[in-house]
Amino acid sequence: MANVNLKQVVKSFGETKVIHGIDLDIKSGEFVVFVGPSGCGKSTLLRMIAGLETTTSGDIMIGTDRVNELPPRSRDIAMVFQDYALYPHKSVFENMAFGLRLRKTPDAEIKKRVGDAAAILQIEHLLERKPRQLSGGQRQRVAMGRAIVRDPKAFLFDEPLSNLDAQLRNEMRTEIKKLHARLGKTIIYVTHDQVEAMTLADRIAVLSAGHVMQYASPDEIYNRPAAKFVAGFTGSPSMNFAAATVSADGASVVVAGATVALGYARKSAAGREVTFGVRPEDIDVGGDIPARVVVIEPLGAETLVTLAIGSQNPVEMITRVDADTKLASGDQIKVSINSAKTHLFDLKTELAVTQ
Amino acid sequence: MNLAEMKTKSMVMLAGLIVVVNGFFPAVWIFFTSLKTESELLQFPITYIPRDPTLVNYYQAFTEKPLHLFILNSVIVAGASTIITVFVAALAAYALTRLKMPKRNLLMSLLLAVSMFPLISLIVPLFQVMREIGLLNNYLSLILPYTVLSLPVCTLVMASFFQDISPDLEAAAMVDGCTRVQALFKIVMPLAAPGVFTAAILAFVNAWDEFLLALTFLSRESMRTLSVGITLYQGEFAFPWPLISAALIVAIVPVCILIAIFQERVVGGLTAGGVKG
Repeated sequence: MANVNLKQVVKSFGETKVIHGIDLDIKSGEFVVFVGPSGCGKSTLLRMIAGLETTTSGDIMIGTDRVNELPPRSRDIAMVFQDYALYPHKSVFENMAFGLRLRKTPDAEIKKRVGDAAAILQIEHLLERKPRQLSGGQRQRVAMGRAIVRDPKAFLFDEPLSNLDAQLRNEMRTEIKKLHARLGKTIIYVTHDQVEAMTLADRIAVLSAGHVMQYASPDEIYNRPAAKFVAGFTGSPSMNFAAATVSADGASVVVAGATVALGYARKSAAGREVTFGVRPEDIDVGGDIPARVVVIEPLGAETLVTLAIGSQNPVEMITRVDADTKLASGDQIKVSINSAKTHLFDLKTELAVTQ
Repeated sequence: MNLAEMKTKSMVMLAGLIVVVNGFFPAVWIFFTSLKTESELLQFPITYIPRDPTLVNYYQAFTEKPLHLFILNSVIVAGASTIITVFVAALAAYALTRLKMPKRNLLMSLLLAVSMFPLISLIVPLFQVMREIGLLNNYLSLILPYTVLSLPVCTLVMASFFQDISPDLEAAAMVDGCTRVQALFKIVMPLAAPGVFTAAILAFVNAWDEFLLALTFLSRESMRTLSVGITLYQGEFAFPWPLISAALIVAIVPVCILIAIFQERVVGGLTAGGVKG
């Protein structure tokens, strides 16, 4: 078990810079998720930690060692790949034993460790099979088993669930969380799925275009996003945004003609144009802001309602309401916005305005 | 099955039959000849199937000339060049498919161009070189050029197989503890077995069949390879067909056995199930 530290890590492919000086400290035993859209550099960053990509500049530390120049085999990490990357010509047992055999572990020890890992993952009955005889979920378990038997300093997961169907993905997500609780190992996990990130992580690093936009706990990321990108990337449906003007005292904003009080005053933005943000669950039916119901999407447990909010040039925002709230498309209603949960973002920098 | 389908099918069958007959007729004819006596061969009308099959030609083939030495020499030369070719071609093919290199396609085309170089243009300079470094009548004088001549095609064959193997498999192997070269030989090569065997068979048959270099560089009789050795049965005034046929069959059989053994590996795909899909 070890902490992982990235210091000013840069990666360039020729002239193109894809990772722009990233600093991250990952504590021993922590579960950190790198999340971001396709092409944001999250997988590249993970592969740099694994040693599968070279690091252009900066330091990658695993424990107390700088590992930049070490090959993957000397970094004492294990990795689970998106496409499982099981060796097709080897049995499940040999897949899991491969790393131990390379390290000349005695046979009895290999048998014990593979057996233990297989028991944890409930794949004991599959040990003699070849990967092609397994289902997607079973292959994923074997891939995790191969990582576990090595007892490495850190586990790296590269979008391990994205090839599974929705139900299996939920099951495996729970399995991974249980596994982390049981093993207590450092895990770095890459995904583009913000639900996976929110549910699994101790801390999330939200990446965009090779920059870390925010590195914080899921709660912090969700409730206090540091940038519009982070706010828009988390939550489903994501945060509603609208152009707004901050009042002269910074205590409220005007959105589509309606005045919305802020949780606390943003003096630095007083009188300026900003982007206003509010999450769907923070818009409530009942209040004094006029709104028209545009679309209703029942989900069973709750209903998503798209509203045109405001009196002048209404803006569309999504809210979630109880499944038994009776609304019909075209209804004129009044809503209120939870002022404690409002967010402002600078128009130019798109960073959160917090003062 | 309607008439049109039957027509197509019978056309395909006919085409296949022509190819098979064309390919096998000489071999079968040689085999029958090897079982005939000289007098039966010269009879008129000719006999197709030997009337009194005899193995005496095979016995003579081994006693008149050191056929066992020819076989041994061929096995050494073809075997060694095959092993070296497969090893070097594997490394080259791996580099060509995995390294991010500019002008990769140009390099591949150049490889192909090299393999089309006429052998005859190489003989004189190669002979000079071999004489200078004292390799004449040494197995290396054939092993080295055979390796070089087979390398381009074998590299291209293997490269096309390596391309289909997910780079994540090697990444997994390297994280598991392999060096890159270990990952190539422990993971990629077994998965590309059909390609490796195809390349090996190509290299082996090329070396086994080659005549011109073998004739030029190995002049001592005890060093002759099969392809050259067989021509030695021919006398100044005599052309002992049955004897030469027997020697030819002896030369063909090892290659046929080799291909029969590896055919299944060449045809069988091994990679199913390793990655998604």
